[in-house]
Amino acid sequence: MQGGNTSIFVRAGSVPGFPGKVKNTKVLANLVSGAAFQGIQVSTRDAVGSSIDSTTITGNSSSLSDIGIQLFTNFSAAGSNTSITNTNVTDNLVSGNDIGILVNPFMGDNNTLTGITIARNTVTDNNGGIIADGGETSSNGNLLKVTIKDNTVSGNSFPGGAAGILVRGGLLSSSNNHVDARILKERSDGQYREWNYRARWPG
Amino acid sequence: MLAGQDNSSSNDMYATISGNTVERNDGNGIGAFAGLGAFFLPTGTSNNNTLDLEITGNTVRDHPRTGISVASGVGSSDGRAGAIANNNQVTAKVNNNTVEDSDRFGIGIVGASSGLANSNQVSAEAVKNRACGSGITDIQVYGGFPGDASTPPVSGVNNVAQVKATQNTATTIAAANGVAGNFAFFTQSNNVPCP
Repeated sequence: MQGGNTSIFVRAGSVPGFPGKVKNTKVLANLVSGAAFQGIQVSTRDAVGSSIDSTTITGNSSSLSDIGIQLFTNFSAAGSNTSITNTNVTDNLVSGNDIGILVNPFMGDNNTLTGITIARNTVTDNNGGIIADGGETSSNGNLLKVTIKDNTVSGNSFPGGAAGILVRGGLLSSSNNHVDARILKERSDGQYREWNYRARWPG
Repeated sequence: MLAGQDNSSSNDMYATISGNTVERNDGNGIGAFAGLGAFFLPTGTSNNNTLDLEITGNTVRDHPRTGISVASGVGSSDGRAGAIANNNQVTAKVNNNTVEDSDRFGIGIVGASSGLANSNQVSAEAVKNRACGSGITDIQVYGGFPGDASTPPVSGVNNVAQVKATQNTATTIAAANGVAGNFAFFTQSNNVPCP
């Protein structure tokens, strides 16, 4: 698929404000290029209570778009209390985009993005490589749990910023967000390091 | 890692960065900051963010700034008016990393690093790291960063860095309050110079 606004999207809600629930979607082995916005998009989209669970995005090539692969919640502040859970973004080639892979509760409040795994992707020659935000653009009170592991992230360039892998709690007037991020590399024996690390979650 | 950036406050972030190889990036190798007042926005206030952090077992080589940089508050990178970071807090474990050939510091831990920033705190341990071949110091601690050719000093007071450095391999280790009114509380033991 080439061009258009978004080449492939997985959406739960519809505007204005009709919630939906989506489960067990697989986006496999597609070649997408040159989208004005996202090559591959997963979003709950402006409908309170929408949810997307158990999405697999594997083996795709996404290039030359604004964002190669994006998981996000809303287009406007009308959306809140949505969730994207148990999503695996693995073994994709993501290159030549403005941002390679982006995970962000965008606008709206109190959204949940948990069980997000970004693994074994090749993310190269983008401006920003892999970015995960707890909240962006007046998006408050969100929960983000993301594991980023075993990716090859190279040749990305964002002068003055962070080009490779960036995790932020809140960006652009976004407050009271909670983020648990793990950026890991597999050891030679196939085991991941255990650090006896326990997050303190509110409540 | 940034717990709050561009007018973003009261975010809580927990991050583990382990086992990565980070080489030849433009800037710091690994950067971790609790609050950044404004970067994209002309002004902004990022207060009361917390960052609980482990940076462990990474290899960080050949960076034009600091290999591993940890700071609690950064008003802005250019010291501009209206970009403020106050009352942010970092708790960090920086252990078992190999950091080589950083042009500024190998490991830098500061309460506040530049711009308008007050009352930020970082509490950190740096244990069993190998930080060698750094341009200025291998391990450096400041309460309030005094500035250098590329970064303005912090403008603020009561920023605190409380750091314990033990069993590191590092030739140059230094700690200072930096800008007046800021404080570094530093203890070290059993560190050895680079071979």
